[in-house]
Formats: sequence, structure tokens, C-alpha cells
Amino acid sequence: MNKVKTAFSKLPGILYGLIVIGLIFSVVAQGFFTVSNLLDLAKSSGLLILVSMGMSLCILSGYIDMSVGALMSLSGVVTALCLKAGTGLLVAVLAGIVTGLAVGSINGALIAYEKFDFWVVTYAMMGICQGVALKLSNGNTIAGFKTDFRFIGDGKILGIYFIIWATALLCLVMTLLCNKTKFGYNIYSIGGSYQCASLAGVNVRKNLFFVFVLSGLLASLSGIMLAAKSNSASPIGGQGYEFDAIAAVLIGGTSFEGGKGKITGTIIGAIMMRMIRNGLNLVGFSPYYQTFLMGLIIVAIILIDVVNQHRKKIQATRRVYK
Amino acid sequence: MSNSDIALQMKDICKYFPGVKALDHVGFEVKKGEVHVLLGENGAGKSTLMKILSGVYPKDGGEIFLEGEPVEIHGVKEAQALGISIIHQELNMLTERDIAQNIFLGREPVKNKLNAVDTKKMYADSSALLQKLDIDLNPKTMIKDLSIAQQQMVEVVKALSIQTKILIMDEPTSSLTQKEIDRLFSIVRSLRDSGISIVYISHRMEEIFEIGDRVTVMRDGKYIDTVNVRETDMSRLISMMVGRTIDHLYSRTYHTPGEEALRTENLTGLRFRNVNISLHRGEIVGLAGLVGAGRTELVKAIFGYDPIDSGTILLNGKKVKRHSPKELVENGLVLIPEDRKNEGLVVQEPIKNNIVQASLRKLFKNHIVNKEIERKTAEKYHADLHIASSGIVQKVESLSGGNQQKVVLGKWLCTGCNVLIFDEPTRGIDVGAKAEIYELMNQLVGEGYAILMISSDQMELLGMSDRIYVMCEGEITGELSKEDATPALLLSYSIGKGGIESE
Repeated sequence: MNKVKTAFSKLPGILYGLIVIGLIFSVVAQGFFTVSNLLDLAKSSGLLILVSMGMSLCILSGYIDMSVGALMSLSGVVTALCLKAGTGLLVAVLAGIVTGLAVGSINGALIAYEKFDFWVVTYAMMGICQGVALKLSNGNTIAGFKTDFRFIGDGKILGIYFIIWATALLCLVMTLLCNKTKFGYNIYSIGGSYQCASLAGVNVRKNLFFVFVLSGLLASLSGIMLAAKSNSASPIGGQGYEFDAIAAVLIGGTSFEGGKGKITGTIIGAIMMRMIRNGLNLVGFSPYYQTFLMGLIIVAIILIDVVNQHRKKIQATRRVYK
Repeated sequence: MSNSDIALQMKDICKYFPGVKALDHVGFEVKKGEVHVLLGENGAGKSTLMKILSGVYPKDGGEIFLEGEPVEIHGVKEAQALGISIIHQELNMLTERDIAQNIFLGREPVKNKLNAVDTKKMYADSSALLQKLDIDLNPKTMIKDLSIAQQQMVEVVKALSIQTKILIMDEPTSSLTQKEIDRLFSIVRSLRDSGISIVYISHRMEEIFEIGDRVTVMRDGKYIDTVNVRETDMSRLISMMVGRTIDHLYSRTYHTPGEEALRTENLTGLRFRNVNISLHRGEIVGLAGLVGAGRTELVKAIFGYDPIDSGTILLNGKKVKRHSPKELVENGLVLIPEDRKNEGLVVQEPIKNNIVQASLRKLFKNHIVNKEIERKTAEKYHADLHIASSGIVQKVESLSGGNQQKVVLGKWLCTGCNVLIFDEPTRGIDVGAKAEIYELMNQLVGEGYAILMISSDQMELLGMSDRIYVMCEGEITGELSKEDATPALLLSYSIGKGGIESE
């Protein structure tokens, strides 16, 4: 019984928020609590989860990657153009992934090794990726793919979408990477104090470089899946994903200061973002108000967290001084 | 002396920073199993020399020998592999991680090719290390839940978690109180007896005689001399350090206290309760206590920076109504904070901007900064306080600690204040500059200013104060006049034992 209790106390508090919101929508939104809707929800969450996990690594290290949304578009377009040019599925997907790795490497090299400001670099990269995606596609959406590529977006294994399986696997890998490996430990150290990590002999630059490479890789995977899911690669398909990803990370309890937060929180944060949108769509809430409401919800969630932290701090102080 | 006694030899070490020769052919030698104190003013090159030894900086010239063997050290990891550990001056802890994660930072044990961290081994090893040094802490405790002293102990454990032959401690006691220092020293002695060589960097002269075997003095990036502690005395060391003699560190002229400048009545806040203190013009009143006793929290609350729960503050006989720093500064009370780089100054800005920073409204009535008034005002305080710099446009970050402190003082004097609260006025300031700060404080009270001074340096408290209040766990536990105050009495009040008689 006690073991169960400690296991529960280790879960991020935001999980309860997710359950509450899920319950509310189950009651008020018709068609929310159905297998097909939940599978769709999981599928669309998956795309955001992938990008958000990359963003999570960046924010945990004390940085941010603004280029991920545009990179998603670019990777999708690159893969789509390869497919249209008649390459095999594997080559096309690899081309998309290589795009992500390349962009991530450039980000990482400039930020970690050349000490460029991360805002400037990733913001510029956002523009570059967007521009290249628009040029390559001549501004057109590339639509209509063969079934092998569409399987990535629509195919099911054991009744569950391929995207969900892929996301689940990557979630597991990323969680283990963050919590159990030296690389994960180093990310927390660098985010906690850059100076402290480098004085302890941590190869800060190498680790940071790989943080941005991973962020690029995850964004490109997400971009390819987005193209497969919608059976079309839009040159602006990933637009706004960088902001949704940052929101997911923050909702998930990761601090902007770095060194503080959990990948599991980010995963739940991403699901929550998509669940709220899905539920509001089903209720028939106007999309024009949705963005506004999402903003309010993010502020509310973070406010609750801040108030909680503050209360805990005062309680701890009183304990020490009583 | 046979060569096998020598643990470390550094010969002709040179280091250049842009525009500065930080180390100029410095030699340094440490025997096995000794505590070797490295002494010098701020900027003398002690920390730079030790950073070269521990692999943080590369050297630009010279040789290093470990037990007679020449070595090249290219990084922190290499230094660690050679058995060289360093505890840096500033605490280097990840506050959001636990003790074990900090101890093994950068050297986490792995259990397979995937670099998975062997947490079991990490926590077990940490427990063993903590036990070995007799420190009663759970390795899963978060650093943010530890006191500064406990964090310092964890730093020691961290340094010893590698096979250490040479342990470098850079001002390890700067944030500890006497009791904690005693504890640290007993650990240092037992390490020394087990054959580890300890390089000990400190500003505190008394400590050298308590813990050191030999002393090497550096000045302006140069090696001066190495002497046995038993064969020297404080004034000789000081004159070696500063290149001149300082007769009286604490020079006080006492005055009859004037009218009451500051008074608190039953002041209660988050970390202090029922505080009644009184401060008169022409007085320096000390505020003693252990780190964590609530002294900084108390003065921050008096200054209006932190909220108070109940009680009143009277400033120059008038009750403070709107409790905020703005209100208090306008009425003449100012705080010279402990953390001057973050709380006292805008270090990226030049001296002149810092000096007028708090007086903009007073100096520039029409909201437009008049460069001429700014320059004249800044130059007045620059000259009055003898700030050593290339001029008022020099950036504050490039000044020494003592001169930075003078800039903070200048900023507040410019506002026309009359009550000054100093929180650790000379922390991290070298001896020569200390004497200047003390002289300034002495002048100020002579001119009718009132000074409340928090200090963890007993010599400073006893040497400078008219009266001393002692705090323990958020309460004032005693008030001592300068005639009655002794180190032992201060300590017994600080740990809440009241007078000695209750012992």
C-alpha cells in the first residue's frame, strides 16, 4: 500500500489536471470519450510530444530552440519531394531525417562551440528553414502519396496507429535517456549551472551540441509524420509548433531557468494541449477564441504552479524556524 | 629534506590574460601531509595559480611536477585523474539535484555501454563517503534543503570522492561561522594526518595560525616567500602581502551617541520574531549571529524589501508608514547588501551611473539626465571615497571588491541618507581595502551617521562596534557593550545559550 502511495506521489501533479480535464470533456463534449476520438487525439498528441521532448531537452539545458516548427515543415517537404521524385520510402524518410540532423547540428555548432546567442541562431534558423521549404515547394502543398508512406500516418498495428507506437517508443527512450544516462545527468547539470558543470569536467559543449541535434531529429520525425498523417506536405505545416512545444514544456512543470523539470511532465503537457483543442472543437467552440482560451489556460496553469511553489517555500521556511 | 617528501612542485608558472600578467614566473611547492596556506590580497594570483593546477585554465609557461614526475594538465578530468581536487571559492552546487548527484557530478558511475548511470552504486558510495567524514546526511537530500555549512561539507565530500593526493580549498570558510569552521578544521586535520596535502587559500589571518603548517605569500602575480607558520607572525605576513605595514586594522574613535536614528518595536517577520533594537547617531552597532540566524532577513525586512508580519519601525523618531525601500531611502535609511555584485551594483555599468542610480529624482528634477551634474556628482564621491580606478567611466565589474563596496557606499551617500545598514561590509575584500572601509565607517559615524553592521567576522564586530546585538534563530538573544563583549560570549549567545552562566 505504501509502495503504491510513493509511486503516486512521484507522478507529476499535472497528470491530475489532465484527468480532470479529460473527465470534464467526457461529460460535456459529445463524441469525446469514444475509441476513435481518443485514438485521433493520441495521434495528434504524438506529433506535438515528439517536438516537445526535443524542446524539453533544450529548456532543461537552459536554452530554447525556436526553429523546430519551421524545421518540421522543411523535413515534411523534403520527404514529400523525394517521394514525388520517385525515390523509395526509406530514402525519402532518411532525407527528411538528415535535414533535421543537419539543421540541429548547425544550431548546436553555432550555439555550443561558437557561443552565438541561442535566440538569434534558432530564430534565424526558423526563417531559413521556412524560406527553403517555401522555395523547394514553390509555396505549394505537395499532396497525394503512395500507400507505403501513408501507412506511417494512417496505418494501424494491433488496432493502434503506427504514430502512437512510434511516439510511445520514443517517449520511453527519451525518458530513460534523461533520467538514467550520463547524457541526461549532464543536461540537468548544465541547465542547473553552466559554470558548475564545466568546473566538474563535464564536456558542456559536446553535450549541448547533441541537445540541439536531438531537438532537430525529433522535429524532423514529427514533420515527416505530419506529412504522412495529412497525406500532404505543406511548406507551413509546422508553423506554430515551436510555441505549442514551449507551452507543453512549461505546462509540464519544467522551469525556464533550466535544470528543473521532467520529460514525463512534458509528455503530459503536450497531451493536455491537444486534448483541450480537441475537446473545444467537439463542443463547437469557435477556433478564433480557441487560441485566446489556450493562452488563458496556460497562464492559469502556470499561476497555480507558482502559487503552489510559493506556499511550499513558506511552509518549509516556517518548519525550519519554528 | 629529501625529495620524496615533496608532493607538488610548480616552477616558473606564467599566465597572461588580455592586458594583464596574472602570474609572473611563480614557484610553489607543497610537501606530503601538510596544510600549506596560500596567502595574498585579492588579485594576487592565488586562485589563478590553483585553477592552473586543477586544469581549469591552461598555463602559458612553466612546469608542474607531481611527486617528482613532470605532468601536463589539460583539463579538469586530467587533474582529477592525477589526484588533484579543488573546492572553488564560490559554492558550486546544483541546488535542484541531490547530494549524491552533486558528489558524482561529471563522474557518475555507469553500468553498461549505453552509459546508464549506476544509481545504486552512486548512492551507496555517497553514503559511505558521508559516513567516513562523520556527516549525518541522507545522500538523497536536495541541495536546496541544506544550510550553507552543510553544502560546504558536501563540497568537501565531493572533492574527496576521487583518490585525492592534493586537495585545494579556496576560501572554504568565507560563509561559515566559528562552530562550523571548527568542524571543517577537524576534518582538514584528519585528512592531513592521512597523508593528503592541502593547499588552503584564505583571507582570514587568524585561520592561518590555527590550521597552517607553512605559508606561501603572493603579491601582484609574483611569488614573495614561503615561511613556516610557527616562525612568523601576523604583522610580518600582512606586510609581505601588502608590501607595506598596516598598524591598526580597526581604528575607531568613539563618540557620545546622539539622538535615536532607528528603532524597531516587536518586529516580526518570516524568519525573525519580536525584534527590538535601537540605533543612535554616531554609533556603530554590530549584529552578530550564526549564518541562518535571520540577520540578513531582518535587515532586508527593515529596509522594506521583505514584508513584515507585525511590529513597527521608527526612523529618526517617526513611524514608517509605507513600508518599502523607496519610502525608507527617501527618509534616509539605506542597505549595503551582502551580495554586492547582484544586489548592490549594476556591474556592467560605469561608476558614474551606479553612483547617481538611486538619486535620479533628487538630482534631475525635470526627468532629463544632465550630464554635467552627473559627472560632478560622481566625481565628488569618487574623490571623497578614494575609489581606485581609471575614472568615473570605468565599469564597476572591473573594480576590486573593496572599490566596488565604495561605489555602493557612494551611491547611498549621494541620496543624502543618515542611517546605513552594512551586511557583511568586508566579505571578500582584501586586508588593505578592509582598513580603508573601516576608516570610512569611522569617519561616517564621526559625522553623525548611524551604522548597523551585520558581520560573521568576530574580530571585525569586536573591533568596530559600540554595542553588539546577538541573534539566534530569529530572536535577539543578547546585547553587549564593547566593554563586555568577548568572542566566547558572542558565541554562547549566538547558539542561544544566553550568558555563560547558563552553561
